[in-house]
Amino acid sequence: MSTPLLEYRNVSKSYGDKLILDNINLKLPHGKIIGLLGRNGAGKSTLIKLTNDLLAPTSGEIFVNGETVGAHSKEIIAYLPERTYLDKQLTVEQTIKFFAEFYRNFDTAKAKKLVKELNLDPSQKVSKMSKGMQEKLQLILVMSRNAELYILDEPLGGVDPATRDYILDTILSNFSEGASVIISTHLIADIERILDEVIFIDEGKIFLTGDADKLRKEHNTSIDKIFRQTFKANVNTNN
Amino acid sequence: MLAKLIKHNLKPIFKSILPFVVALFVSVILFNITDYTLEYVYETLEDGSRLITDIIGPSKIQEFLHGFFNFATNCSMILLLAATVRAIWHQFKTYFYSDRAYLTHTLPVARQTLWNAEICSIAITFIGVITILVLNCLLLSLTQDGARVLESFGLVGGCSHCIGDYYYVEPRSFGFYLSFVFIIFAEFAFITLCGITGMIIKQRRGKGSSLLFGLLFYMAGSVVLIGVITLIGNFFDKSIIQLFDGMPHSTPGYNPDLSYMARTLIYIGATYSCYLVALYFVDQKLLRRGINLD
Amino acid sequence: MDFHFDDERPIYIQLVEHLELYIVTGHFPPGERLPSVRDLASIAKVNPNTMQRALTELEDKRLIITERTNGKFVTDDQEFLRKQQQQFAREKIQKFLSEMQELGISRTEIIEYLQSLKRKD
Repeated sequence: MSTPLLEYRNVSKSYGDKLILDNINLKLPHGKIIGLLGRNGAGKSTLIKLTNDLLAPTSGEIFVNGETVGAHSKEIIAYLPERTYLDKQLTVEQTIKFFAEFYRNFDTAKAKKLVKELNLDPSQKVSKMSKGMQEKLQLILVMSRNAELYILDEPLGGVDPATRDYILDTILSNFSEGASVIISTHLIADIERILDEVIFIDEGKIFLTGDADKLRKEHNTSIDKIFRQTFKANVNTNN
Repeated sequence: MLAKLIKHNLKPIFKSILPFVVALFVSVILFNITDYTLEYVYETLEDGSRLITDIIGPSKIQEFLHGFFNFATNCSMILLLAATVRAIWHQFKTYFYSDRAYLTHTLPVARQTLWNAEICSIAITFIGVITILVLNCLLLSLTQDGARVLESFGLVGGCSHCIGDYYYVEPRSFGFYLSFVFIIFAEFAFITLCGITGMIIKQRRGKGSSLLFGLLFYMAGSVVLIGVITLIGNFFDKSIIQLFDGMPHSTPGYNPDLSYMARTLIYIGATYSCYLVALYFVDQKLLRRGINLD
Repeated sequence: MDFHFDDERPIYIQLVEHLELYIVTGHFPPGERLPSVRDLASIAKVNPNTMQRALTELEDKRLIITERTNGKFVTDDQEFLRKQQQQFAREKIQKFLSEMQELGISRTEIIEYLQSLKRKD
């Protein structure tokens, strides 16, 4: 069997006494669009930050292409955080240059094209842009990398339908061939039709993983409804 | 990668201290312009010798402006150093722990490289700032005697008390000036690293005040420094203990043996160097254990 | 071209249905080269993997042909396309009839309805 793109081995994360992730074991393949689905506070962001070396696991290990997280994994992962992480003092053009300087797999021509399509002025400072625009620029920068894995944390949180379409379209038409995309969200209906695979996460545990279409066939309903049912059952057992 | 990181670290630092550099330069220039020399009025006697009949001093305004720009120069020097420390702290906090940190820590470089880049940036910044300070002092000395240069330094130096008392004792060796400059560098680099260590510890613990942690490190460092000097003074190099004896002002013409002061500077400098190296490794170890961005 | 999906059924099956219809109705004319998988996916706003899967299915059904170097083409077998169209029509009528049966309407009544509609036109 070939090396999985991403593998979690017994990964746990806790803050003090609070267990955020509880013994996660998971292997993710190349070439799939994967939905990381869970309510707010389920542990999605924590799992993503661990994968990007922004948090250190309390125990367990994470492998990207068989190697532990580090400079190598950051080279092949393109990560879109929930926050806007851009240098506010730079212009759009300077920001593109910054990315090109650090990421070997960054496609400057593509980034410039996407910026133009968005009618963004390249000489505008990031600080002068609206929050929504900053987020779009950030998405463009992330999707302009020829990465092997794109990790997008809540890319659709709180956006209007037109922006949602723009974001989904930008993701679908720009991720590089053979790459995998992980999209985390609690709004499943918005993205479920583009998913190959789904991971349900709740209270720091993985509840269900599988092929999206197979799940639809088995349960004879949408992923959104399966999620709601699973989640409801979970609430009942807790009570 | 290291060079690129350093370049991007230095940009915001130098941008934020630039106004202070300009302020210092302007003060020094204006100080020099308002500098005055006494004008002597002579009367030539019959035998050809001359008699000084009057000395024309500066006008009140001239005197005031001169004093004012002297004050402004000293303030600018202190402010520049303070602004430099603040700018480095701000840059470190922004790049390592704010929203911008999401970008820093996902760049395809090892965390060790990020840390080395930070250290190099701090070193370059201080070398740059100290060079600026020295150049301004040289500029000052164009119109004033070398003592004034030391006077200006004396205000900002960590051991101003031991210099201030003796500043008009001549001559000073080049080595003396150099070690003095080095101590200023080491002192401020130590303050900077204490602050950064405070931030790293606070961030790893997830609670507490980074300022408090930093202050604790600085105070511990200062206490140990006094201890080290006392120890050396009592057991190895008895002459340096004179520093603590509160020597009377030396008078012009009297030229005491000041080599013990130079040696003290070397001991202090060596202690600070050890601190800097120790903090570098402590911080490196803490950073290697991973960061926890919220 | 419009793609509507019902999230309760596998997306690729619905995609196959849409594409079949567009081919048979000539939106993708016989013998014509199809856009790339990525472009098609972008038009339909679906995952390129899903589009690839649907196209493979269409290839199995002989509605499209892959030329190794040039990409994918709609079959130019007009006869076959015509048969497919009739097949669709038959399926739709069959569905219609069974729905009418559920309503309790006989075939003679249906014909009468259809004729009355025509007269009104």
